[in-house]
Amino acid sequence: MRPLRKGLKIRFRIFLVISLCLMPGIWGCASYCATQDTLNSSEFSTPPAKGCKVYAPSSDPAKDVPFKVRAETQSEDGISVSAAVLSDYESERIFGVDLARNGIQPVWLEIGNTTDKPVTLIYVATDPGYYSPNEAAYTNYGYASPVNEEMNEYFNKHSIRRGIPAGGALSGFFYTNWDPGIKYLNVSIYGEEQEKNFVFYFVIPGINLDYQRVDWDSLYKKDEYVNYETEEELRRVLEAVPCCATRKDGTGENDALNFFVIGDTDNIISAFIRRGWDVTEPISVSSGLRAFKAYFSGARYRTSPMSSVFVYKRSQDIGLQKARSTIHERNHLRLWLMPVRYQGMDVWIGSVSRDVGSYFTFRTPWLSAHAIDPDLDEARTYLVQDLLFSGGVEKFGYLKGIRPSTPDDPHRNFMKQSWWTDGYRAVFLFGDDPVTLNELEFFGWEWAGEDGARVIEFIKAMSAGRKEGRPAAPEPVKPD
Amino acid sequence: MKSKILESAVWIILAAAAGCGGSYTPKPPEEVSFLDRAETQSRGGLTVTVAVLSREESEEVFGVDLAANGVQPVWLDIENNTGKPYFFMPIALDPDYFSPNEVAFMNHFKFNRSANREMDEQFSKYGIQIEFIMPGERDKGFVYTNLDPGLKFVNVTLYEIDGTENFFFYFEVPGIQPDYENVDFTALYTEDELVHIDDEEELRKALEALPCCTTGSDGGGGGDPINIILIGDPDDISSAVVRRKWDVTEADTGKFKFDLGRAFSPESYRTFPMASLYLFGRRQDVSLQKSRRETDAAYRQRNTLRLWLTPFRYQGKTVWAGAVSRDIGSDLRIRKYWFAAQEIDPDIDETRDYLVEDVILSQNVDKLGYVVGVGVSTSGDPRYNLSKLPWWSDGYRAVLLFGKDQITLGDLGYFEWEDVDAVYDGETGGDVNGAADEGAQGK
Repeated sequence: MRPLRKGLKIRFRIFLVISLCLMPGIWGCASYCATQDTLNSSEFSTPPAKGCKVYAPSSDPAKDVPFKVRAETQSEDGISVSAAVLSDYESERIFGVDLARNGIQPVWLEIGNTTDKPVTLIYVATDPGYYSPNEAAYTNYGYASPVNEEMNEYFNKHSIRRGIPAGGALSGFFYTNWDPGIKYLNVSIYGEEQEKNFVFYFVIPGINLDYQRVDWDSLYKKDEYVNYETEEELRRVLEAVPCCATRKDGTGENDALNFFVIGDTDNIISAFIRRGWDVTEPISVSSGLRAFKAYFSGARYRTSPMSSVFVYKRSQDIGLQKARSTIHERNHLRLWLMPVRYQGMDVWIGSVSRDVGSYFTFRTPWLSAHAIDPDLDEARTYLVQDLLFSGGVEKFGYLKGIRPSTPDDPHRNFMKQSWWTDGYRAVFLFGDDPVTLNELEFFGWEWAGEDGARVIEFIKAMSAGRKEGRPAAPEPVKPD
Repeated sequence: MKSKILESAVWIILAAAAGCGGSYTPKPPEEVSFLDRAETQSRGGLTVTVAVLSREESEEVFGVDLAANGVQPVWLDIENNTGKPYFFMPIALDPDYFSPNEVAFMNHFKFNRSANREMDEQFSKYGIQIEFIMPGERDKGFVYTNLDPGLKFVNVTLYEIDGTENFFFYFEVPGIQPDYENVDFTALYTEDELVHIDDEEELRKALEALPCCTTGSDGGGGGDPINIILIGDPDDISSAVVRRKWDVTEADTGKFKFDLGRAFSPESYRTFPMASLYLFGRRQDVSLQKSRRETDAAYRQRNTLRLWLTPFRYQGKTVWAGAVSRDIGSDLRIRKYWFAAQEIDPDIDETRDYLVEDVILSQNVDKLGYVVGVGVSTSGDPRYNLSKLPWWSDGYRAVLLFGKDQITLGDLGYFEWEDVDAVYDGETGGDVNGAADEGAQGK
């Protein structure tokens, strides 16, 4: 597809140049009316003069748009932070312009400081590419529009500032880069000899997500869940899980089921979101159309729908994806809830693979399919690194369960794409508290890779050492 | 069956449109000279060697133009002579690194299966193994990273069960000509012209006495404020800003000015040339920029930082005066150079505070402080730069002292000069000759 896409790119550039030349002509006409006295009246339904738009931002955002009902508050040592993320509709209603179109998502913050020292909000820690108020306004300017000034004033007036004086409070909007579905928000505050992080996750209204259509209570009956208490039992159960996803009727071998996650759903999803994974839209007419368009333009579509893959005769419960620069390249994974509990925690089967590009096909309704990286373990290794760095994983290990295959004798999925693996599956156990890499624990089962046998011996010795309170490494492994 | 026929019909049309085949002729890495530029660090039994390939080198090694698809291979050679196994984690080097098969797929020929298969094998063979490196063993190969033009920061993270070891490298990648290469830094000041300062008070006076603003080439005209002072070894400063994803800037050779196609190409906007401003009677010595990479407007939305080496040496460290501003978009007014028609954020302190936050998050800053010297201006009574764009400021300059150790925010030290908190409260500093800044009062 490369030469074709390049051709498109050049044509797109030519189009851009032409449209840039035409823009003043077109936008100049269709632009805003001269300033009207809209700020003082709370009437939004005032009909605009013929042929032009009225710039009518909300005079009292919190009153006009009830975004504050979704606000969450956290406090620690005299500092309290409330936050809420605006949906695309809400931000257009408040600011009077379509901010989402330009990739801006305002976040409302309120910070109270009851300590006796001033503190500072670090914008860059929340979003290293945040928009300054003037910049956010400028991206929405109309050409030679009479209301540009007004817009600029509005964006500045409603923005939050950095410094919170001792005993004071601040509130306002912060203009971040747009995120679809779920937004991870890290509000970082520092002052003399202190540094605090407040972490929030918001589901942003205005988008359908695949897991919302799952009826979690009816997946399994209460007595269908089997709880396991010991690691050995868990290992046996997970190893017995079939190698692969199936057809809807439970036959055939599709994608590999190459990892498991254990833990509280919130902890699992938040760890993924922190590492930049996005949620997924269910397949629908509009999302399919968007995926089809993105396929031809090569645009980024971060929540693009995923095809159904079946385990337990049902399609995935949750799909997650991490896009690179185009729709063609992303890592994606699917999760299915198991009727199994480990020490009371939920257990999920997962299937992860890396999309390396896409090709034209009649096998899907939107005429394109993703080519996966046939070296499936590469995607698993990526996931292992990503989740270990998320700080959410408490315990980690590998076990077997897939028939090993090689490039010469590969597995094939239903799209007739080949894949191969060493046969290992990764197991992640998520905890409530952040875990740094050096606190990570391991399941003493097996280890993937050529030196797996030696690595697992080392890890077992190490874990035993930790248990006995021996801090340092065990006897060094002799090099061959 | 019908769909098969349709599918092949589409393929035939595509083939006619795109042309067929191609040959694949890579060269073994030993024959390509990138290893000459490799750097090695050793610590506690671990030896890490890193080299970053230029566009030409990667084309020689892999037989295809990887840079066209935004891929930059990094060569790694890791030797483990400790008693423990170490796990190499490329995700810390680039969270969006490419897999070997992915890079091969990008470069596949349309109708040359055997060459494509060869390409797959080649990329996989050269890719580094991502697994535990056992004691006494060695792991080498390429990581396929996203392309960084000019300067590249490489972080090699090796994990063992009790913790991680990090090796930081940064490289100048051949292929572009950064503007600072045209400056002969040793010839800027003679030994007598250098002013050595050891005392904080003296430093404060020297920095306050710097000119308020940049000028035009003739020394006249309004300019941008000198609102940033960076103090430290050039290596420490550049490693900190490159870590925060600032890019170098290409020398303005005059060739780019009217090259619209170049301006719209996402590969090169990150190092797009910058207009000249003058201080001490010369153009900026170093220009850095950080552009928005996610949107198509990236080449006109960027933060720019211009730096001049001053004659001061504080405790032996170099002192740089800087002007930072935020380009928020371009307007259609005609200027001397078309790309200089950038609209800047007139609230110039906002951009200064951005830079301060950004570099202290690199954890390389030991001390932060503020001095006066710019002079107060307000949104009601702004000053104008060379492009006749308004700006206003509370009059403070941020002073950042860089060190070698990692400093977290809680441990950050301060120069006890102007009240830092007052800066953030929106109070104005310096010679108060204007009314209070109205824009900064409301909250």
